[in-house]
Amino acid sequence: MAEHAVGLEIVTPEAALFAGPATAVVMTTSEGDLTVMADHAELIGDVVPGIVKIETIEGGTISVAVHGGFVQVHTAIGAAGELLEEISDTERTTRVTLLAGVAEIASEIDLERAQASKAAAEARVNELRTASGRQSGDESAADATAALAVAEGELARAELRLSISASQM
Amino acid sequence: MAGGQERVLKRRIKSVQATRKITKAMELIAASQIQRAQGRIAANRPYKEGMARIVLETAKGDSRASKKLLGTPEKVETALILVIVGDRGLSGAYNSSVLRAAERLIIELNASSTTTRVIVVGKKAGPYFRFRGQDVESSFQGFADRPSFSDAREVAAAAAAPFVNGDVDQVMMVSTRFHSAGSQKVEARQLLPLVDPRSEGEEEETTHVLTGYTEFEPEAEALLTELAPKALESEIFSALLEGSASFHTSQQRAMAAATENADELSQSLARIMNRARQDSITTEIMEIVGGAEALRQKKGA
Repeated sequence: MAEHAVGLEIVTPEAALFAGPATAVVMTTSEGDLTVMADHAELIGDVVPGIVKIETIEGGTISVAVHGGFVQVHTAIGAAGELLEEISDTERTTRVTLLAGVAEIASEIDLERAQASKAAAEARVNELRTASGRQSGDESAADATAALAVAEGELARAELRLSISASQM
Repeated sequence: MAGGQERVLKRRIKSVQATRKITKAMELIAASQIQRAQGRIAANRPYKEGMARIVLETAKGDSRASKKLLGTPEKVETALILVIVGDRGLSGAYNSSVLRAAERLIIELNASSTTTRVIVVGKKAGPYFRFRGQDVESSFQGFADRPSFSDAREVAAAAAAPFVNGDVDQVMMVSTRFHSAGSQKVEARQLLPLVDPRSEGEEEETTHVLTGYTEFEPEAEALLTELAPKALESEIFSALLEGSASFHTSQQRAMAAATENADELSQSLARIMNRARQDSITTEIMEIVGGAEALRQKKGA
């Protein structure tokens, strides 16, 4: 069992979200779906916003909402280190490092909060869109575009959160 | 009357002790904040190191090495300087040493005919630069004590935009590095283009076991373009975290010194007050004795 596991860590800037063994990790990069299992080739890729599915060694699945990030697959002797406890450091193991600015474990998403933040983000996007329609040209237009991008990102995150927690039920 | 001086001293002692209470409280709060800030630095470390590793591997994989994103630019016409200080004072030399280092850097760059633009984090930077006639392009405040990652994102967006537009050739950052509880150093570092990790760890590379071929999704060059802003965010976030830890450390030290000073001051004031009281008592006794003596002589006469 354990020899077919990868050491997976999902880290955000503020905390480590997941650290431990997994039989497979399924994610989406800009070039398509990617499943990483033990002994996967060395790889570095981007992870587009979406669901990352972790298949645990117990046979369950954990869904994680990842709002964009990067993944590194590192296969070497002792690469997984402390993430795979039963395996000695002298064996060839695979370590999957997923870096994400924002990520949440699906079962921990607060549905009400997600809905509220979606509504807030929608309102903000609409407000900025109408505002940017009126004025143009000067410096504030650039600021408005940046603010709109931020708000749209927030909206996309809120929608992703909702769709993932819906799929959990 | 002699009691007047005593009253004045008593009032001063009271005021010194009130100040001491405040400085002592600030010291204790700062001490607890250091713990928290250090915890956050530790929590950020896996992300920061993972990001550095990915950038390094990607830079190695990109044989043409995107000139725009990596390494030191040959000619810098305009540089953007990001200065990170605290929102509050009463923290010893924390703010001023960063600000002085930033000013030195600006002077140095101006001397080599580089135009400088400045953006700042922390309430304390604005007035300093304004007083010196240095324009501050944008100023972020309100989160220097406890920065969150979305704060770092905002700052990173402001720092990256002029670089991406081609308005500036280099982005520098002046901030305090938190090496340990006992040592913090002000440092000026290049943020953009990203410092080429290959040039940094060259000696390490020879001993590093090359693991062979790495796949990139998408290709290394495109990936590097995507990575750069994220690496910048991570870099700025850890600088903000280290800045806040340094701020609290510096404040704790300053407040501990102030508390000690208040102790000394109230002790010496108490001595002066006691002497004054003793003096006035002695004078009073002398007066009574003198009066009694005069009365006795009058009776005898």
